Amino acid sequence: MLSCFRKYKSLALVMTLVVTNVFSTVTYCYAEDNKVQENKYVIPINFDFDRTNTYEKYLDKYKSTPSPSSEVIVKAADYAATDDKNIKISDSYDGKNKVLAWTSNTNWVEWNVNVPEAGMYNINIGYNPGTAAKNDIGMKIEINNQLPFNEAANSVLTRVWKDSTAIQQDDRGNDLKPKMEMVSRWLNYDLIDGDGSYTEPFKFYLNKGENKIKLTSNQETFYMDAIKIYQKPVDKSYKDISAQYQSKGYKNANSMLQKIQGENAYQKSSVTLYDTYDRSDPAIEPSDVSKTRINTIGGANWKSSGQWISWKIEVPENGLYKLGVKYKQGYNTGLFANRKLLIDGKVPFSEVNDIKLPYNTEWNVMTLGEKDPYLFYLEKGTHEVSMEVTLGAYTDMIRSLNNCVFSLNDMYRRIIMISGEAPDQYTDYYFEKQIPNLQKTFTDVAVEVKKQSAKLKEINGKVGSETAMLDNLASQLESMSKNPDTISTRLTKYKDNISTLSAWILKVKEQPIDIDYLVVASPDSKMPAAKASILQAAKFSTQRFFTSFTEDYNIISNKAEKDKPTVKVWVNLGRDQVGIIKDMVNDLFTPKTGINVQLELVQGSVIEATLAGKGPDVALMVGNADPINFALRGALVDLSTFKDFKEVSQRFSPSAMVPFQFQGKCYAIPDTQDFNMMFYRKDVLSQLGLGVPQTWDEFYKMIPIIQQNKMDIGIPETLYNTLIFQRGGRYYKDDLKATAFDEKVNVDAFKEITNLFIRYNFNLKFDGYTRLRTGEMPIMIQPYTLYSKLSASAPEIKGLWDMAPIPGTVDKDGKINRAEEGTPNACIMFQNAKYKDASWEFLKWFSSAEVQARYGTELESILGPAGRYATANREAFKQLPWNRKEIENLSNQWDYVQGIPQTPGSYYTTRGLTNAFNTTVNGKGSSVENLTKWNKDINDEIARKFKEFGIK
Amino acid sequence: MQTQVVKVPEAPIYRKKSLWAKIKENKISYAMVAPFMILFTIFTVIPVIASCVLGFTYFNMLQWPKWIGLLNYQRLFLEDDIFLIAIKNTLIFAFVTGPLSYILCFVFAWFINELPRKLRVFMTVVFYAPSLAGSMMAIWLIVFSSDQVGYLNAFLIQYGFRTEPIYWTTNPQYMMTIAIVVQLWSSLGTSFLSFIAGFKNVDPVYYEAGAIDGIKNRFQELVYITIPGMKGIMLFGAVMQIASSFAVGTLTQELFGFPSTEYAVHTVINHIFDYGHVRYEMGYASAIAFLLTVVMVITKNVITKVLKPD
Repeated sequence: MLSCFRKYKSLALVMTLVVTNVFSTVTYCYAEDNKVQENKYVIPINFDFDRTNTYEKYLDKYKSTPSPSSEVIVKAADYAATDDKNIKISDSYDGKNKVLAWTSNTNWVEWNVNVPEAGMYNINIGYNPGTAAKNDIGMKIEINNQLPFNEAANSVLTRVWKDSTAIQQDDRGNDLKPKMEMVSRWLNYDLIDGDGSYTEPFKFYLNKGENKIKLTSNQETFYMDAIKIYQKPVDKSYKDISAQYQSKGYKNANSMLQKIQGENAYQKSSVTLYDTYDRSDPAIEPSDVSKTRINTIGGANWKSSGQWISWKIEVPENGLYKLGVKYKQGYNTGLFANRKLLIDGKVPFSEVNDIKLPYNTEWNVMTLGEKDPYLFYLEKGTHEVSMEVTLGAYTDMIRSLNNCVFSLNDMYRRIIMISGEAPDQYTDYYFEKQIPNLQKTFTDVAVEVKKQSAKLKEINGKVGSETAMLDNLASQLESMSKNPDTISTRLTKYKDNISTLSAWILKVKEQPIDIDYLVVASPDSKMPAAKASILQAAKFSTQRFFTSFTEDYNIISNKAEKDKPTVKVWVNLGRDQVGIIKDMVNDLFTPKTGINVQLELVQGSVIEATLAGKGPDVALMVGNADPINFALRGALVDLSTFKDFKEVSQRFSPSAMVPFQFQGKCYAIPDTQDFNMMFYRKDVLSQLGLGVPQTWDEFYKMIPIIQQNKMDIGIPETLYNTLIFQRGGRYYKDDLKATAFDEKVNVDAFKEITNLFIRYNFNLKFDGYTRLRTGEMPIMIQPYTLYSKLSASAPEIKGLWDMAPIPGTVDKDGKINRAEEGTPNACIMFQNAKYKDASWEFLKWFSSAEVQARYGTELESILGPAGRYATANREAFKQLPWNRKEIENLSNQWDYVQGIPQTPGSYYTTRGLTNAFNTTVNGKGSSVENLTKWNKDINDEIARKFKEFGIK
Repeated sequence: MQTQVVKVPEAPIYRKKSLWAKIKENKISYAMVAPFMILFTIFTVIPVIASCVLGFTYFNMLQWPKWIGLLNYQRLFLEDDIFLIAIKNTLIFAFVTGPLSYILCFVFAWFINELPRKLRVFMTVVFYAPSLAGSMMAIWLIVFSSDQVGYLNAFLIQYGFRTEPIYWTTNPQYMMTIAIVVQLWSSLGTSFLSFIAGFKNVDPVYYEAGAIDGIKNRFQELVYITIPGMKGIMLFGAVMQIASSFAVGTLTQELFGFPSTEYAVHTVINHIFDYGHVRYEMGYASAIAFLLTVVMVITKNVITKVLKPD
């Protein structure tokens, strides 16, 4: 080993010398030289590379333009043009007449608006989300056929939800989460940035006279009443308001205190804002020693700007009241969570635009206005109090730091294009000469970061680890700008700093809090205590300890009712997931069918349990090779014997059934199906003059360009299957009795894939998520679930990347064949199930579109977008929160997905292929030689297994 | 005539006491071993017997076992090429890492024994911890990751030894070495602890006597007093280390995946797993397992013979 290192070290030294001499001539390699223009399928990328079109720059451009006070209202029904020929105008909907009904067929609608004076205006949309569709409504506005700025495409109109049932209890006395439903309600929405990057609504420049205003939605269903062009009034300060109170002679209310429990919310903006429970303290209302009590709302889900929850309060007399909230913000260490308070839809005064709730892991009662409480004038009767997530004081800081991250990432990418990810320590690459503006960018960003650090200190009122992180970054940038020759040695640290910063930004952008109750009280009343006394707490925890011996927290299902069939279901998932399935069974399945379901959370050991006679009737989320394995030994029920099996199997793509079929029988139905998509960085590819490759030929042409720029390409080794399928090859022949790896297509495909790794030195192992984030791999093929992960947790590259179907092979008719492998998970039913029909009912129910979609939605509400469910049900897939373009892309690819059949001994196929692949890539023997050798072993094993099971 | 009846004194009858009676007599002792014996029987004796019996059957875990006589053994010895690889690898582990780790245990225990008390406790934890934390293997996954940002690869690339990552866990050229290193790292277990205890057990009187008799240095002390003084523990350690080397399996599976490339680090335990849990041929797997047990028992006896304490 040592001698080998020595050999390489001397080699490295020589290399260094050579490289240093050569480097003065290195420049970018652009695609022009390689004549990519010839590629007829490539889709070009349009990318606003310099971020020229931001709202900041737009405001700057119009900073001296006046904001006239004129107001124009246009009825939505008086539209000028639309792409939806069948668009309808409803005569009346929920109290309003002549409203425009947007549907999933409506992409855009345009209005002509006559504005008396040119100037900057707010635009308000009067809409009703209706109750027909569930996803939020994305909205893009174009004025006079032009997108005024990039952020104008980011507005989000929320839907309105409420609890449709009261809090009920199960038969063990635990509270059940109330169900939620959508509500029809007319709302006024000022177009604003949906990401919360700006606290104020957008101002748009409108010409004098006629303007065309075009709204484009993500094809969601909702009703629209009117567009209002006006000036949003500026909120008065509390000082002015309290002066008003005096002049109007408002009096303080007397001895009154009322608590409004958080879980009894009136309405909320999202289905994820469901009621929650906290059993940490007896003072949380209500609480119980051993049983679950729904007693809070919010939590980790109530975090993104724009999400709101509202409550109804009732006051007995006209007068001035103070407001308080019992909350816990145990999420963002050292930071505030911010909320905007609205009473009856209006912000009463500017101070409550940004209520800062400091970090504390304990429950707290905060009186708004703290020591000198704000007084709110409330008339006798009911009022709606709502709290909305806002980034508040952090808004500008986050926006500015996001811009910093963008420029730093851009610089990083330019640097590695010259030096690679691991630059040589002893080479001076002259980055400052090769990258224009390198030093200036670093200095500018350093100044900006320092400024934000000072601001953060000011907001938080103290120096913390956050400011230290920012200061470190700034000093590193300053020093790198001064001594550009040190960049190569500090590159890793630089990259780490960027990712720390972007992770931190992501954290600050989330503003979760839990709420136990709101308090409305007369100024003379004392606010309730947040915590129980020590004695009470001690009693509570002692009781909890003793009840823990009698209460079984592991039973997930309800107690079964006698005289009705019970299906025992094993689920190979986490507790959260099983909890969701249990709720759905209680809500939708058992009441309708009268079948009890006993859900158990078990990982693995199905076989052993079945052997011992303790196995389940049905198992969910089983690996795709298991069904045939179990079935061959007579453990599974052939599902195709059920009458309506055909209809059920229509729910899935035929490829998802392939691994479960053997000799005309089918032993499982799929629950999930995963397949690969191509992910790419728009900025990097457009910088290199590359487009999105549609065929392998185009893909191969990109490789040298990307590699010359010291970046890489991410390809999974399973690409082998893709190549086989695209060339019309197959895995097995002779009724699955032998592999087809001796056929020419397969040998060629195998040769091609191993060559990719040998010739281009592609990495066998990489973390796609990180590499795409840093741009080190600007194009890669990965499972499509990466999409949700990237969109959920890589904010700094938002809009810089995209997903497309994988490259294909052009067939004889000039069509691109994008075939690839899809891997499903299975639901199976065991032979020893007592109630087979009931079990089948359950399987049918679980795999139905309605249930799969709801399961996916609820799962996402717990795990966030990163936990998006890869359902195999194609109808349910469309109901998950993908946008139209993503659905199109994915469906396009899904149509090409194929399944790999399973056969006795097919575990050996994967094994043999992996071995043949590794051996070839390790440089031992040719691909054909290795494939042939292992193919023999695979076929021996398959033949042996066929003999074992006596299958002819 | 009067016959004189000579009364021959009855010979004392050494009637064997019944087992039951014996148990009754020593009931307290039996009661004290009972908890262990019950568990030992249920979880060790019965499974060993069961695997011996199952070794003569075809058993696929779902259907009732079918008697097939010696067919499994016939296949094992005559047809199974991979079993030979597994045997080879297992023997490498048994006879390379076994003795090596035995020596390491002893040497480290000796060093640590020389340390002041507080430091000794700390160091004991440091060395013993790896064998406690089974899933600590994950750290080696990062070190030997085939990714270019894996610790070792990143180091080699950073300092110019390599330009491309080495596929540590899929290239058979490196796999065995890595497996041995990691196995040694995690093998300072029970025998290491017992050595430390053993050192403490040697009566200090001997050292004083030795000093008077002319022992000059610590090494002589070790050879002439300490080792003879803890022969029993030395034997125990040897058996433990070699036995645990025979049972290497989860380690290779976690580090190199299952099965490893070209079966480069495929051990007998992996082979059992392969047949038991991948191919569902429990009968065959039992045959292998039983064979492994027999080999381990024989090895144990050989070790005992070699290191026989007085």
